[in-house]
Amino acid sequence: MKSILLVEDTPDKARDIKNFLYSVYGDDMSLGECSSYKSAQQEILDKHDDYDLILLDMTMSTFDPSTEDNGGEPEPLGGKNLLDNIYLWEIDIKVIVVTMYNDFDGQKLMSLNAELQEDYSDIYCGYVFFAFNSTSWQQDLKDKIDSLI
Amino acid sequence: MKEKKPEYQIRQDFLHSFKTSIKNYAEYAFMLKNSANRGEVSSSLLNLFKVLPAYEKLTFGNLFPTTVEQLGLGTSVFFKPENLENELYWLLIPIRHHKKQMKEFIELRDIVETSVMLGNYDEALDLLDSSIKNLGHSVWLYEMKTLIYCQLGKKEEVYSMITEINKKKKDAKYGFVTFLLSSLLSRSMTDVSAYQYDYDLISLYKRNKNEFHTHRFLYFLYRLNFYSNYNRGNEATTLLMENTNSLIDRYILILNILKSYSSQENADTTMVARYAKRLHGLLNDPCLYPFIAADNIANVPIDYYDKAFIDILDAYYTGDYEAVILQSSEYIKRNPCCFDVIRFYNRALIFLGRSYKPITPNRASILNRLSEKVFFVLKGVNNSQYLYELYQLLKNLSGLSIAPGLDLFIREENNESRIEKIYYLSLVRFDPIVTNLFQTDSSKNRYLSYGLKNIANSIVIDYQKRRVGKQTTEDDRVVAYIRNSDNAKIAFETCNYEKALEMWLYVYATSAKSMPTLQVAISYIFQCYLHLHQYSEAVAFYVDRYLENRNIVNKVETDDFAKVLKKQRYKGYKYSIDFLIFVFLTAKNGTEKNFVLTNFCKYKEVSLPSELIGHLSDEKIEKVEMFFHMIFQEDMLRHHKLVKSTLDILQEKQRIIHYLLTLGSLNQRQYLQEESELMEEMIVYTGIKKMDEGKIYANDQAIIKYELTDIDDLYKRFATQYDLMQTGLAIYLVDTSTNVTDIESSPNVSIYSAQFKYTDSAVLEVANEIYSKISHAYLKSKFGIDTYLSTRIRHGVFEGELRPVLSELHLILNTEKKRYITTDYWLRKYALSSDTNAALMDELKVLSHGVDFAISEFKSKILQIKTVEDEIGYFDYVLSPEDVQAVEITSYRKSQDAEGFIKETFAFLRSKTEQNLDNIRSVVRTELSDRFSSLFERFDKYISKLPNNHFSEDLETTLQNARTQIAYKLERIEKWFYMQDSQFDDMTLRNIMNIVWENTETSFPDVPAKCSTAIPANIMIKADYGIHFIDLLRIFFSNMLKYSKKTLPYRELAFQASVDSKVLKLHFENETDRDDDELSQEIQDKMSSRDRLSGEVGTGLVKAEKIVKYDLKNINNQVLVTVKDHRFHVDVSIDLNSIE
Repeated sequence: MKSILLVEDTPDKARDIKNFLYSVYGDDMSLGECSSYKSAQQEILDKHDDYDLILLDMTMSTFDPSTEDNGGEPEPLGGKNLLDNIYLWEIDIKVIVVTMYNDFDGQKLMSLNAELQEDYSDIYCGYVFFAFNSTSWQQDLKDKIDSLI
Repeated sequence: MKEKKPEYQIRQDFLHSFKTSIKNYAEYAFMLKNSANRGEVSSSLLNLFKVLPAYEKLTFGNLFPTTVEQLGLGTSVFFKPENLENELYWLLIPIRHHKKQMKEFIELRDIVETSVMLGNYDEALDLLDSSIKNLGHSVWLYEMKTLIYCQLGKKEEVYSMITEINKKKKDAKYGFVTFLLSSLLSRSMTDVSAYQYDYDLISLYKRNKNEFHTHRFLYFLYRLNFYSNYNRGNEATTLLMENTNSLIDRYILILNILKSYSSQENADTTMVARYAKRLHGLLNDPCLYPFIAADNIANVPIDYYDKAFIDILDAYYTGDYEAVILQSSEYIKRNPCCFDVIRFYNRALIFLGRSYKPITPNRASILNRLSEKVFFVLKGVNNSQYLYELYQLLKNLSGLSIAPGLDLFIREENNESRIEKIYYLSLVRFDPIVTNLFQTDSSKNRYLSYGLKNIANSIVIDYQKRRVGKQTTEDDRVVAYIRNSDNAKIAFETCNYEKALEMWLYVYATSAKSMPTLQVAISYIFQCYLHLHQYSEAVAFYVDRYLENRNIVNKVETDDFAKVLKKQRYKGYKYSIDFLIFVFLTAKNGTEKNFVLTNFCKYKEVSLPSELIGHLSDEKIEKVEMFFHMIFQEDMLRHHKLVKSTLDILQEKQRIIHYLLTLGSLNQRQYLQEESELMEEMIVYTGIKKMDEGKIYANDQAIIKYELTDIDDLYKRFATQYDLMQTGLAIYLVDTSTNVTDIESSPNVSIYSAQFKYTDSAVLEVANEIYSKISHAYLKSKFGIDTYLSTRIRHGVFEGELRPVLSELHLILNTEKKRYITTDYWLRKYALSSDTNAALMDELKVLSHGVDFAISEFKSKILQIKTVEDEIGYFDYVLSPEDVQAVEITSYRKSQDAEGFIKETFAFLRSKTEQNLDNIRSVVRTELSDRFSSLFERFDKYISKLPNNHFSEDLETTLQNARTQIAYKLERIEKWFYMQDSQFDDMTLRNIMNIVWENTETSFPDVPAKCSTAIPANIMIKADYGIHFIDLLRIFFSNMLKYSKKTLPYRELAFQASVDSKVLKLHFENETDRDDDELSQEIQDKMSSRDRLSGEVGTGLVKAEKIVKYDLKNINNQVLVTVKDHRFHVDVSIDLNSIE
């Protein structure tokens, strides 16, 4: 059974990813969900043993809208902060970044990818470029997941 | 052109080339410049120019322009330079021809620089004006005059001068003069922020279109801001562009080019030395000595050895500080640009424990102002402020020879990257420090030996010779701290860290008076501890020193160690308070700081950082204070696992600041201010309008707090320009808000025909500058509209609102490798024939493409911010420079200070945003909606042609469903395009009172109190004035809690409000144990003392009066205090008509 945590704050993107994951893995997968930096941090620190893999968005709000109107300030690199938490707390888990942007607070995706590879080599397992109007990301995501868990 | 021609042939061909065209002639000159027989070319042209001087002008442009109109009209044709050497030697021809005038210039330059530094401005101006007769006009001449006028504060004169030049040159077809002078004016102005100048210059031409544009951009950067850009740019091209100016300007640039080029790796320093020697042979300019010395000290003339300078060094090294002061004062009168002597002078003052004393009698001179700032930096007092002021001075003085020394000093003190060679190559006199230019010990020794040979018995030179040989010395003629420092450095360099540590600790212990020595010692001690793996000691030492004086650790290199700590996940180190403070000070991210803090909390068995209060009683109280203040200030609480909302963060901060206030430390005033800001933040947070559907937002307060902190200088400049405009002075300036006109360019040659644009409005430029800064922050900063637009709408949200609707209905296809892939949903559901299915897929491809295109176009063409005409987007903020000026003049007139000015500009931007949003909503309602309709109609036509069956019926129903859902979604999307209010909503006074009371009460946990209130429910306070009522109530409630009589079980306070004839009346009351008359008198004294407003303690009533009269906009509003029967009454009356 694959156990995956999806950290994503765009509901429709989250839905597309979930639909795809269920269509591929069906009952052979359990899926947790978080939609902000803080809720994901909590889940990862408390329940990381429940998961084999995290699918991580890079840009997200600080708090869940349920906790705070508007989600607080946007976190352009909230995903990176989560990777930092995983690294520092020595959490044994793999992370795939699923993003649909090429620019993060002025930093280009390729440069961010290189930085993440260097800083979190044991955790970070590359990125998948998501697009609503495309299905190319699906195969890429599946290949990456299958190679990891 | 490789073959060698005889001289007569060169002359003949040269003359012939003139007969064809300017371009052909320029091409021939270009060939000569790059020919192999440099000697023949030079002498043949010199001989020709002596007989036919007009040809020299045609070849080299206006070398000594007799009118300002001629200045800059050198040449319009640029051939891409082959190399720097050829460009340099080409200029040797006119320099050789006009060496007499050039020598005159060198003499003039030195006298003018000396006069400017010493404050003898009239003398310098006279000299400059009278030099025009022989030397003509130059950019340098006007640069110096501009600098002097700006130092004298003579704005009318400087603007008149620039206006006159601009008017004369407004039709000039070539040249950069007016732009150069415009920028040099900004650089010289004392109220133009140095950092702003750096930024503006970079911004101005960064959008380069072709190679020539890039070269022109780099030329401006190098020419106008050398000390920020000496490591960028192409020297040969830069020099080529300067050739439009006078020979004087070209020569000045040559000197800078020799420095920056020589500082590069792989520079041909022998070529530089050879060239410098040739130049020196012609001009005798001491500025050329360092280039010759760097190559071969034996070739430097005898006057390079300045005994008076070495005597000062000797006196300094031997600790005779009285002699240093005396000799420096004398020396500096003759050489005021010698930065080293200024430094020695001030160090000597510090060693003698004296306060600053002007180095020359004119205290207001540049020399003394600069020297005084250096004194305070060396003393370690308020470093960052003085270093900022020195940077500002550096910008103003960039054209003087003091600049290299000042630049290096600022970089060293700020621990910034630097190229020391630039400075060493500016030293015109023998100085042992120049040995740093040499790679080998033998070259260093050779240099020093020549020094000893020419200045016999110098202690410092002899000492440096031993130092080069890494010989520790006990020569007690040299003062102990220098000797000990150098011996310790030798121990460190030879990896004897234990010994080095011991020696540096000794230096540290015995160098209390010398901040620079302490900084160096601390840096080495820290490194020694690390090399010895004594990490806890390194950390504790660093933190202890930081606590003593944060400037003292400025030079400690901590980055590498901080990286190692993170890599090791902070394991293996003792989690002491020192360790935590060290990580707080040096880690890059809040996550790291929070990590060590959370671990520390665990170790102390508490959950939240505020719960550590009381658990650190064994630690030094100063450290505990710093520790908590850093938690309060730094970005780490957001990352704490147990902090789950903004309110959690604010409450945690509140607990910490209340604790800090109980310490009664020297920082009490700062903490009171922070507490006040925090309370405002909490109240704003509590009172903020709940989120509606609008997604457009700009965080005004954060923008002012974080993005516009350095607006003051620009605001002051705007105010000055505006006031100047009011005087009626007619000013004509280069309009830097528009770019220069273009050039004709081919791979190797460019014909430049630039004409700058001008404006006769002095305030226009600065209005555009300040508007650009404020609007950039409002629109594009981290807290600006674009951030929210991007994360809340553009980044997937918009797409995610529309596409999935159609996806669910199976009416849209997905793509793979940019091609739509078919679906078998309909095929399977209705067992369609392959033809029917293929036709359906074709139609769905058209529909999918149409939808995707509409989404992508809306994002890329509508949802973009447009600040200049050639951008696209419906967030349109394009204004003509004149309109910007009108906006900012209005903002200025409506406001009292910089913050008010910003808020007025925000109000304008907000109204502009509202207009834009109106347009965008209209696009959603009409164009976007129509687009979907026509796509659906097209699909509907296809359905209508299908045979009537279950498939076509289902498809029709699905399409109708899509129409309805998309229409609903578009309605939703339309509602996104409203401003989300960042301010308070209008609030009832009762509500404001409750929030303020709740927050104030928590600030006084040890003062149990109850406040009885009587406030009618219908008193509404407009959003704009909410913050002032909050301040007002906070002042009174705080005072009541602080000063009311202690009664049991709690203090009884009262607050009532009423409205009578549109006058709001507030009544505060509490018991007091003070004598009625005595307290009345005290209150009267306080209220009559206006200057108390700037203080913190005992100023509440004065501040309250200011709020009710000025912030609440009616001078007749009143605060009345009475003390009767041991009861303290405050009655406030506020005219509501003024704040509706």
